[in-house]
Amino acid sequence: MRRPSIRTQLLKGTTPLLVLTVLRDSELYGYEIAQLIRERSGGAFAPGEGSLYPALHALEAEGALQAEWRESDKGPKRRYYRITDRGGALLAEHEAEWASFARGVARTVAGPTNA
Amino acid sequence: MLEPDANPSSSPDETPLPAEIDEYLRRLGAALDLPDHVRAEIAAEMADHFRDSIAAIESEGLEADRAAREAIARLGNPTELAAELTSAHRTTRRLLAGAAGGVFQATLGAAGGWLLGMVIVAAVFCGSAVLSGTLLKPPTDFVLASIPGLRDALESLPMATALLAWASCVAAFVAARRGVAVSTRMSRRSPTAVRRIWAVAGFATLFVAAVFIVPAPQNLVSVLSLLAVSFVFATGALMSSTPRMSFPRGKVVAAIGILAILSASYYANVPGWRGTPRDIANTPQAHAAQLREFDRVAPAWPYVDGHPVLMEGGGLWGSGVITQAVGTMDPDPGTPGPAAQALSLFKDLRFEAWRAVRFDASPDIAEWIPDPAYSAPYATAPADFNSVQFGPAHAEVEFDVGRVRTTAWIVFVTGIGPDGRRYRLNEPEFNMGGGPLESSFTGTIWQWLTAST
Repeated sequence: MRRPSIRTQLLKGTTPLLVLTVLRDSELYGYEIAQLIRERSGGAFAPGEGSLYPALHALEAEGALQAEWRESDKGPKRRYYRITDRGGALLAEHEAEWASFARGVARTVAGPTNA
Repeated sequence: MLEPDANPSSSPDETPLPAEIDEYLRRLGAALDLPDHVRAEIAAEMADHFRDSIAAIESEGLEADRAAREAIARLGNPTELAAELTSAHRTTRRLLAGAAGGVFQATLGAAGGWLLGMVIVAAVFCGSAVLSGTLLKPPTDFVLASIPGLRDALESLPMATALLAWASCVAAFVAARRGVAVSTRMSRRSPTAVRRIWAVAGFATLFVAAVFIVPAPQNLVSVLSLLAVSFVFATGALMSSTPRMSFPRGKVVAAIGILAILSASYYANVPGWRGTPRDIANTPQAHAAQLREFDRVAPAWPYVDGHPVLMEGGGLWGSGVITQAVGTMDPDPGTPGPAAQALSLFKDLRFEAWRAVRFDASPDIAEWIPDPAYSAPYATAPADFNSVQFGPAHAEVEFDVGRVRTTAWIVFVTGIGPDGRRYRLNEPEFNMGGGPLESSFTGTIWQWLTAST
């Protein structure tokens, strides 16, 4: 059995944070969300499409996102996602948690300090 | 199975999807254990995703076939994706909302369904009266049989219970359908699972309520009708969302079934409909035979001016209580006449309620007599005659509700005469219209089942 890479595991755990972050400023549909995350990361990573939609639907079920079928500028009706107040609060929580986690990882990786 | 064409976002000018993608969406839809409207939305969203994804991959230089395969690879195994999506939709919040919403809608549905049920039952009840009157009676008796029959049926308390139960069946059916529909939609749980939960929970609740909690006037028909409510609820909950009965056959069958059931209950509850009551040929032989049976209660005190000492003034035979009145045969109870003088010789006057059975003295004669299986009255109550005046007296003979089912009774008045023996002072058949009335039983189904007959 192949072990999932660290990147895959990290991406899966941070997908809600990434999704909420890109939706903070605008309403987007699923494929756009994946593309935007890819662009913002400079192509370094993108959420697996297979885990993106479950994450979107879970956030919607939680009340963090609201979805709506709407005509798009570039084609047929699409399912647009919009962050809610509850989603905004959740994003703040995730950001704080991530910052704390990232600092901890950075300190650990940097090794012991002389201070 | 989901068809992309059935989704809410499809439009005629959309690019058709490659066959592999259609197959992927079909497998995804089949693996999604969610309500139909959610599955359709997910299929539509995934179809949009594939269109975008394939277009982007093709713009990178891949051919259409390979682009479709690549898009599928990026989204992953459809069964696993379906499992994750299903799980994402099933939150505790939605479960609670589904339960609460379902119960709320079921309550509204029950209220509306009950009103609808009353209208249907009233219409079918009248229809069954007309039908039964036409089928069971000679045409000349039709009006006579129908109108009093309806009145008798409505006055029969167990019949009223049965009618209310049938209206409740309609309410239960509507409530179950609405409850399941709303619960499924809100909770996002599998429709099959939601239907089963509603069927089991509703059946258990209504069954327990009908059998152990709700008291009502009962007989066999009302008991079966009340039990039917829980079965109808379970049936309504378990039925698929779209009724499959084809018009008009299914509806005709259902209408005939309802009509037959109500006709049967009507027939069972209205004595007059079990056949034209035979005229009682008051022949001396038949009367003598009946009086011999009455003598088992007590010997009759000799008639005064050709009449028994007492006459009955009528009786109410309600739930567990007989209220019976009697008076002397004297024209003016306030002025003691021969009957009152005879009555003054007695002490310890009392009402005696005896179980009654049909007595067929001859093919033309039908009467009622005390049940030969019993040698004592079922219940007694003092006949409180005023010592100065001998006017009407009455008594309430209480039944032990919960122990005796609907039964026929005859009430006698007896007293201890000058010689110290107990005598019978009335002959019920003369004043009771030919027979006793039936007492009605009020209680739960369990009490009815465990009661003696």
